[in-house]
Amino acid sequence: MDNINSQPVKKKKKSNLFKRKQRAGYWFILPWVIGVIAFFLKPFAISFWYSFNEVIMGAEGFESKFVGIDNYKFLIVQDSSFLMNLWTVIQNTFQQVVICAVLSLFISVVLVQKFRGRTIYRAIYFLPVIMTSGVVYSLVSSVVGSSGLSGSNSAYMYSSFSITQLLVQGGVSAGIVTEITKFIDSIFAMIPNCGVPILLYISSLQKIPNSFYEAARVEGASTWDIFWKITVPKIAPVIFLNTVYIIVDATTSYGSGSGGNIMMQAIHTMGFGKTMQFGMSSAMAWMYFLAIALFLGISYLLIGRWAKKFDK
Amino acid sequence: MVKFKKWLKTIKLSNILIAILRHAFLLGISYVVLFPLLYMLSNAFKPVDQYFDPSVVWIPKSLTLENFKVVSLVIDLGKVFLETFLVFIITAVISAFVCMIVGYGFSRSRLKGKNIAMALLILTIIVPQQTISVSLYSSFRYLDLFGILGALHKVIPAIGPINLIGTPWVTIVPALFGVVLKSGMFIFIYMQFFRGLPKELEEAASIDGCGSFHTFFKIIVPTTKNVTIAVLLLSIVWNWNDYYTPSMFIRTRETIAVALSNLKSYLDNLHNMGLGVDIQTAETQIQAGCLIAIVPLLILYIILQKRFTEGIENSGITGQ
Repeated sequence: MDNINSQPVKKKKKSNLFKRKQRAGYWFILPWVIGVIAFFLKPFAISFWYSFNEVIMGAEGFESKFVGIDNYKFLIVQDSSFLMNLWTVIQNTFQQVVICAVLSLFISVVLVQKFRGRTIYRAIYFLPVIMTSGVVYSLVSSVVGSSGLSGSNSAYMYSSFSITQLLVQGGVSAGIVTEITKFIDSIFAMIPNCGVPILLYISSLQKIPNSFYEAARVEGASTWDIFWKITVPKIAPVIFLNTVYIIVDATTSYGSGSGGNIMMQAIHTMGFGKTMQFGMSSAMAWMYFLAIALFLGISYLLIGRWAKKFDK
Repeated sequence: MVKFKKWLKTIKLSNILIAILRHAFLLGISYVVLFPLLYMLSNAFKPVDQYFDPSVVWIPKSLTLENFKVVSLVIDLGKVFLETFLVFIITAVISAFVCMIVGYGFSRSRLKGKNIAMALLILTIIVPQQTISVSLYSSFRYLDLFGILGALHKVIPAIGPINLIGTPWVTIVPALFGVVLKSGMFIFIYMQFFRGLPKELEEAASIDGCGSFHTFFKIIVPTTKNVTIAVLLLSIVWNWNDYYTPSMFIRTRETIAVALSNLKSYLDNLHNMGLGVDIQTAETQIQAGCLIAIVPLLILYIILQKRFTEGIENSGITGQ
């Protein structure tokens, strides 16, 4: 008898619990929902509206005049620098995604092995997160990047000058040499952005059970096979996660001075520089945002769907 | 001797080779990573004239604190650090805490419209600040809380829209709602962490008569220790280094990032007044300024480093 009675009671309690939890969930998210509406959605929508307006700052707030798609038309047809900047940023982002994703995977695979001193290396490799996100890095890298340094400290590490000379004297054609050195230089520039991706890769690599590798080795698989057949499928979701992170990081970090993202700075100067053209600035920002969204969408189609195949 | 021979036999040549290659590769990259720091350290303590001395590359012949003195002459360090602390450390701490709550809400409830909320969350991560900053500026300039203050203004003229521009509230108010710099990412990290947390924990608490909020603060919050350290560190670092927000919304107050980006022109002014050195040769002073700005973060990182990596690794952000 007891058993039969306790059954429905238990069920009732559970559904109550469920409901209560659901209600509590609303309370936990509520502040964020208000915040997102006030400080994100509203400005987001307004900036969309501004992008079709000519906006000037008045005494009682912004005054806007509807001009249709004139802002967009101007940017695409007349303003020669806008599309060029956009294209440069997209190219840089693409470069960063490819180099960072591959390089940090390579570094992580090395770092995840068991050897002496790996904890120190890991601590070092994450250091850039602290330094590169700010003005400090752009101040340092502007020194490092400038070639006209007369001081003894001209940072020869970042210049591939000697490699260039060596290759040219060795008889390699100049065109190929510049391509190679450009690539090497960009690797140096990208490494500081690899901190977070390395951390994420390492954390997912560590979660692959050792028994998988042991079994594969017993079956006679080579290290190469093991990497492609076990490691890569296991970390596929993180490869996608890192791709998204790198894209977002490359496109939305502001920086300052020479280290910054030219598109972000162009948007800022258009709105808050001497011109004070808020409408035009919004139009630029929206086109930039759409370009990023497109970029992310393509990377989802290429990598996200591939990663999903393994995600079970 | 026999022992040594035995030991020698156990080492394979290929293993040594791999070890050498591995360390060569890792050291090479470490050098690239550490370069900015080494560069700062080397130059900040260097007398100005030695910067141009070709016989001095990394290690100065003599050490000096002169560079720091010059920097403290143009930047009121105490005030700048206080401002940075007031505006950004508080913001970072609040933001981490609010993100924890929101992340928990996201992970635990099967709400109606959760997919819409998730889409919004992703949108807050991928939309560049510049897209919304123009209109955000206007809503901070004339903050009227969904039209409430504006309506009150018609009745009582003394109460009108509030101007938040130039006050620390520009970041603190959004932080209270979990919508500031990178908070989307923090919510995401917390959400992934709470997803990995066994639900039995709360069920047990709930059967014992614990309410949802009680459960959260008494049982859930203590489990987040390492993740919270990771999020706090990231949040502090990103806020500390953030140049855009303060230069945009808090122009009257100088945070460390803004002060640093103005350092060159300050040094230039100083030189025009007949003090200091020419901006062309002020590199050592600029590096001293950089070092000052970064040392607090470095100390924080060194202290928290182990917990930080553990926090990220156990956050479940990379899947189980």
